[in-house]
Amino acid sequence: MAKIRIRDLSKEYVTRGRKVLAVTGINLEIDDGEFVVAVGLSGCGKTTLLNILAGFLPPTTGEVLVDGKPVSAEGLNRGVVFQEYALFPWRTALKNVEFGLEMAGVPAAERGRIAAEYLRLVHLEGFMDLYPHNLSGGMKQRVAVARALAYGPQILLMDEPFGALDAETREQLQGLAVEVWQKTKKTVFYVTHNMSEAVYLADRVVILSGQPGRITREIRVRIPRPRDPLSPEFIQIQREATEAIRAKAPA
Amino acid sequence: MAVAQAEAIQLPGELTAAQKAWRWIYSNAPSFLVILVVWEAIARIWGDPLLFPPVGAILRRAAEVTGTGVIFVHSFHTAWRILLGVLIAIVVGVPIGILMGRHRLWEHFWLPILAVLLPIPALAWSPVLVLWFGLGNLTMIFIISFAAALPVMSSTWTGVKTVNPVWVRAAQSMRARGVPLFWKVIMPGALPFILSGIRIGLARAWRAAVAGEMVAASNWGLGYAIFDSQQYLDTAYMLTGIGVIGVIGFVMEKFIFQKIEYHTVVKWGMMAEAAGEKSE
Repeated sequence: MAKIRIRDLSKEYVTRGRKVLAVTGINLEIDDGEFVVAVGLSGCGKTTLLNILAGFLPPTTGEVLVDGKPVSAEGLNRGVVFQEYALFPWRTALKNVEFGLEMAGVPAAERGRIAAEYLRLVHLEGFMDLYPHNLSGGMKQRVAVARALAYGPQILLMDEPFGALDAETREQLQGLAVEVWQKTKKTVFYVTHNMSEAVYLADRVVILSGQPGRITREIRVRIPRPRDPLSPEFIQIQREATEAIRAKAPA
Repeated sequence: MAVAQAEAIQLPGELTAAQKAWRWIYSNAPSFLVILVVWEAIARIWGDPLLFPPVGAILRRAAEVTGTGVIFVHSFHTAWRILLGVLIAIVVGVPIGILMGRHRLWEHFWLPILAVLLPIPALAWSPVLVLWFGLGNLTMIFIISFAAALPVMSSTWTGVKTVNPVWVRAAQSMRARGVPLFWKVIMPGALPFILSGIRIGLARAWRAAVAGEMVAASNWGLGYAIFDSQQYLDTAYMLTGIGVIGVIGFVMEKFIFQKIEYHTVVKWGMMAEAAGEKSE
């Protein structure tokens, strides 16, 4: 059975009295443990889709089911990693990672142990007691990944998490994302506009395009990991995805 | 304030305390020396030690009132009024500011009131308050709390309104809401604004206290002492009182405020620049 099931979903915003349809006719099933990347140009509604999955926004029509139950609000069965640096500046790396555990009611002693474990998972065991402003951008996003995983959600939602990083750090973190996913076997829904990133990470690339955004194409990526972005089959799939986006993108 | 800033961001182990003290004296002493020299020159040219006493006479008088302890009693009275007044301002102003930031209705109710009251100097209320409560502490505390509460309220309101929405969303994604969301996210997120509101409130409280004591205090307080010694043409005493106000203000800023900031918002990287600066 699918971990996440999105059925006939659409989302309409009202801005300054005008109704704007952001996404429409979205149907998508994501298997347990699958890594799905949604790509599209800006304004195609991919972040809207993620926000609905996270429970930040209610859908206008249709529904999202997680484990067969409709999503109506935020929940500890999903972890979110944001594009912006969303760590709490007043908490050390370790205390940031503990936040979700506090909300889940885990006892204090246990929290420290679990949080430390997840910081080790993202290779930050030496930086637990630093405050976010003493961490580099890449390290901050690693902490954010650890924080989103520590309380044990089965689903990880990632909204262009490495978009603000320099190219080299981004590549490192893409590698780390795959490593963490392989170790934790989470179901991942990842949003990006970077085609190469999508092909590098995904089991399946979902292409969103048009306004309102629709799913126009799905591409399964069967290249074994770790993937080489310069290999012919990688470039082939990347080209296919790029063409699919351009095909229906507005001028 | 370059020096204070350098001190505030001092990394441990870079300079010893004695070295820091010397450096501080070294870079700040010349300003004071120049003022003293100019003062002395004016005093000699003027030639009336009663109206414009030379530095030596002021220091002698300062030593006298320090020796008898009378200046400490005055300082104590002013200081406790200010601390109590600011405390009341915080206890009243912070919650109202928070409610304004969180609830539309409170915001609608208080915003126009703030807009009208904020520009009125607290001292303008003193004749009315004296009529109601008479001369003395009750009137003084009212004036001081009023002066301090308004900036505390409006800064707290701004701080709560402008807490980074990404922090709130991140917390909500982990099911934080209500009371935990407030204490664990909104309050620390708004703290830089709240602290700067209290700092402005404290500065206003000082002005209101000293000026208020001149019209509304009975017998004790630095403002009262300065005002009272005018009748006896005791200029040196007046100047001593003024100097003491400066010193106490400096000590409060340096040893209370900057310490609090250093261990919270500066440590968190939320206010790196403001470490050594006065906002008013």
